[in-house]
Amino acid sequence: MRSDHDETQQHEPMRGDAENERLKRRVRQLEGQLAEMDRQRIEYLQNVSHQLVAPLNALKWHVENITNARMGVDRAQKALRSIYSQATIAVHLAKNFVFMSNLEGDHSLADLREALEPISLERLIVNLADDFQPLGWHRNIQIEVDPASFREIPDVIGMKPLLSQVFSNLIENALKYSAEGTTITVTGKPSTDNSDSATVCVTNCGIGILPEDEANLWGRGFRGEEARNKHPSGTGFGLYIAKKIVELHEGAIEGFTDAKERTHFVVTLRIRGLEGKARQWPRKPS
Amino acid sequence: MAPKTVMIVDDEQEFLDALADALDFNGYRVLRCSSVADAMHTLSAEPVNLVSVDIMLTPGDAYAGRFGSERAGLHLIQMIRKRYPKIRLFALSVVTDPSLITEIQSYGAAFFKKGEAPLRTYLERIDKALSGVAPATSVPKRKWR
Repeated sequence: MRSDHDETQQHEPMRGDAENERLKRRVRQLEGQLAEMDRQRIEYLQNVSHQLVAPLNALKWHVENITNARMGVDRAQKALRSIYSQATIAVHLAKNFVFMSNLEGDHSLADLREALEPISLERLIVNLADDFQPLGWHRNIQIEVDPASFREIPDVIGMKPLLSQVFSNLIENALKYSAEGTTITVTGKPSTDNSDSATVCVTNCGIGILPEDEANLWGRGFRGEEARNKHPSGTGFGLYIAKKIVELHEGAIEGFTDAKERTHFVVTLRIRGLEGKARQWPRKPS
Repeated sequence: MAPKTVMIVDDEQEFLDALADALDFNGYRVLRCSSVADAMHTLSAEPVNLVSVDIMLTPGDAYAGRFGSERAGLHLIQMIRKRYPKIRLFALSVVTDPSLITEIQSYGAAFFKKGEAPLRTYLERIDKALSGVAPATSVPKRKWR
């Protein structure tokens, strides 16, 4: 008497062959994807290394200059300002890379283990503008913050180190891509409807955003062609990180260049939206 | 005696400033350029003894689209070697790809890994390359090929 097992044995070779082929194709496909991920990982690490090493090496050379007995006070002051600028860049880049690691997974704010706190957007942005302004001096680029525009914006509940990185990335990008002798302006605006939100806009003139690039702007590692040609070094992660952080704060961000060739990055943040969450976590000591 | 002239071509302002200051302290006349276009324009108008070039460099408007920025400095070295064969060439790069180094050296340029050695070491190498060389006092005649 033939058993079910015998019948199964008769059919299995045909199904097995096809299944094996399918699995082999799938393994080859996965191996290809793994090789590509490995290549991207190596390229990313090389990029990180170059980005971090460059300002630190420049910093070393400036320190060497300062130790030269013939350097006058004025030049020493200039070298010290350069050292401060390079240190600012190095810290900023290091933070970006840390955030990249933290933000890659499907995280919520709670996973990031930072306290939520009320943040004065005016104070945050004025401090950042002061930190980054020296980077614009050699090309005569000014950063202007309009304090009056922030007066009616209450403190925003958020994670200060993360929101600071959002605006650092936007200001640093504006400096990098602004034309010589132009001004970067940062303005705030409370919501005009009852949406309980505020917007901050960073505006500059220089290398703009092409309409066809707008959708790709927030992609990991994306840089427009003109940006790549005029500024060879750059990771393309700044806007990706900014968007991730803003979305974690339940806000929104957009970027575009208008008809007058001014580029605007507009960040919308919820003012009270995260307040309930803040109460659940330890408050930052005042 | 007129000083010798070194032209630095680098779009990273901080490196350019640090090197320019050091060369100035050491008695060199320093010209600063931040792109391939800027460098070629300056060479057509200024006498130069040595050019220090960063391999990763902005092409500049006159060369936009002709080559990418990753090796724009190498293209600059090629052009300088063809048109101004007497100018000494130093190349700086953070990338130490052996094939890139070989290509740089094939144009008679000395290669240095950017930022690795102390500044004084780089200056010593410039001093050595220019020892016995008279200061450039006229714009070199361009070789047409």
